[in-house]
Amino acid sequence: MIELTRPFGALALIALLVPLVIHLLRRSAAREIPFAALAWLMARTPPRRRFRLDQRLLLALRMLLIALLAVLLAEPLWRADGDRETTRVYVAPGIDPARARATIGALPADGYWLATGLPSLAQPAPQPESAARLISLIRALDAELPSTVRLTLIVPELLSGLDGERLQLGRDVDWRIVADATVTPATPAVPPPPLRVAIRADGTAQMVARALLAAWRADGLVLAVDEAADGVPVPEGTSLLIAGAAIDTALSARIADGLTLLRGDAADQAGEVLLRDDLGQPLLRRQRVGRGQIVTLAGPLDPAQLPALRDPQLPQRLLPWLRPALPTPDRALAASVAPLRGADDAKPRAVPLLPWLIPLIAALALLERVLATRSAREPR
Amino acid sequence: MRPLIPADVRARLARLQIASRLRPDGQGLGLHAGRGRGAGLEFAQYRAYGQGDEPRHIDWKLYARSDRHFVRDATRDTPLSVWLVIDCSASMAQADPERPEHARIDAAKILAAGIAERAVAQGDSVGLVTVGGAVTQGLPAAAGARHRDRLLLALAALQADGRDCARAVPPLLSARIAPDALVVVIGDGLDGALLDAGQQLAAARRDVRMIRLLTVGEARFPFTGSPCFVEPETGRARTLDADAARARFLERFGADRQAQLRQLATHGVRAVEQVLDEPADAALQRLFGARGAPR
Repeated sequence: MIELTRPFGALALIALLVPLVIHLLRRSAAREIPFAALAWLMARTPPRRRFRLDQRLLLALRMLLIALLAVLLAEPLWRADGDRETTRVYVAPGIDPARARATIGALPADGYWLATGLPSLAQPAPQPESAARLISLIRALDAELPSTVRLTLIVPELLSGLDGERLQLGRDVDWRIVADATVTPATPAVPPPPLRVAIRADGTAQMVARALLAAWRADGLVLAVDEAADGVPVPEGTSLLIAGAAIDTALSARIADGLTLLRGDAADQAGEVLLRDDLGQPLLRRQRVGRGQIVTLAGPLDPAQLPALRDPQLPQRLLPWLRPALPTPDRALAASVAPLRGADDAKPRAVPLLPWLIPLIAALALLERVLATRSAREPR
Repeated sequence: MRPLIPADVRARLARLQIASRLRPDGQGLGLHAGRGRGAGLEFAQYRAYGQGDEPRHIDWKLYARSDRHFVRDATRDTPLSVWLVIDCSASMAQADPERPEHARIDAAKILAAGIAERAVAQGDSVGLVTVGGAVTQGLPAAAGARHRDRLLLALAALQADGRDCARAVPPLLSARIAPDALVVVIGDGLDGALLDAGQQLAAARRDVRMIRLLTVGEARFPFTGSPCFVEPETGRARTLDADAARARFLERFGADRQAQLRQLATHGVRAVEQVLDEPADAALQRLFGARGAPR
């Protein structure tokens, strides 16, 4: 398919009128015959064709030449699009080829694994890859394959590792889903791990800590609690420490390593305010320390001194700030993330036609000269 | 110089006798029965013996029967003076597209050369007048091989370049064409003034013959397509559909030609036509040949 880079160059086609006009104006007069008996020739038989075009071959050649020059100005490109539509089947790794074959009926010869290097289906199945990798491969396929190739993508029912961007392709694809695929997603769906909490407090603070934990448990949060006296080291893997004591060096190191410390300290005015009480006074502040944080309530952990602790909603309001960040949702049903049709159509690679056009024009110009001079030499 | 007369034409011309319808009244010895009476083979008349007649001319046998002296007169054979009148107007340069080197004027030269050859061979005198050309040329009538060569040279140099057909008449009338001469007008018959002059000459006791040369285009109109016809003398041009015009042209032109021939015949001018693709001596055979020649 020929495509014009600068379609306005085709306006030069108007120049096609030039050789036409030249041939109309400069047509050789009708064959002249001396005829003395002209008086006996009736003028009632007019010539049959008044607008004759002489040397039609030459005219056609000249018009072709000018048309080609106009096309040259328009800078044509050749996009190879075999008119033959082909279908290629790509199967996500982890799907049994037999199941894929059953899904689309008969598997055509063009079957590939949707994996790095796009190995043929005849080769052993590669390791399953994350959906982000699959989608990256699909985008690459869409960009590289000619638009006449129909894509059939066979994907598992559940895709994980997706990003927030919905897949958009330049062509319509056949998005086949294998329902009960024996796919092991790259990030397997495991229940969220329990929130590991350590309590290093006593007295009222210990009671407050326990109340918080009880409220969270009541909300369905799974907790692993390590309650010990002050000074006992915090076990590995703990993500939340509720403590009343001061921060010593060892604790600082743990906090910087990712621990969240919840404490009550009216004196500490540092950090950003996360929550405010009903009067608008700061209730909860946070200081980031390394990968961890120190979350400070605006008073000691004692309901008598910090009335806000009596608020039954407080545990729920605290919880988002104290939990480690949950992984972003990256799993979806394949049916819900079928590729969309993008605005830009897939275009095959374009080849500039100028290297062929210029010698062709030169050859035609030469031929035109030969024809024109030859006809001039002809005895008339 | 290439001889004007092709070899085959020359062979046929050898049997041709140029003869006039009239009896010439010239001097000298010739082959034609003259009007003068005198010594000769052909009996003309008896007349009474008068003063000045030689006694040996008296027919003694008649004297024996009639007892009177009669002189036996014979027709004197006199030479003929032949005048060639050639139309040199531009229309005579017209040739057929198929044979561009053989124009009407070329055919006229062959005919004139043939007449001159034969006339000189018969001892007649030949003169030449060109009419209608840019330059009027002429040679007085004379006999002899040298005069024939001069005439052939003048013929070979003739060019049909005349543009004004009105000038055809004065040279013809002013030429000193002797009475009883044979005048052969070679032209295309399209020049009305030349035809009129020929008729006047015929009325003035000259044996006028006219040869009308027709191109193939005029005789059969073989053109096709829509060519542009150009009249050579006036330059007028007309582009028309030849196929549609053919039948009407042949009908009109043929009728006009026949009418012309009839009119010439009523004025005593014997006219024949020759188409350019006919043998070069066709008109001569028609005018002077065994069938066509009047005795």
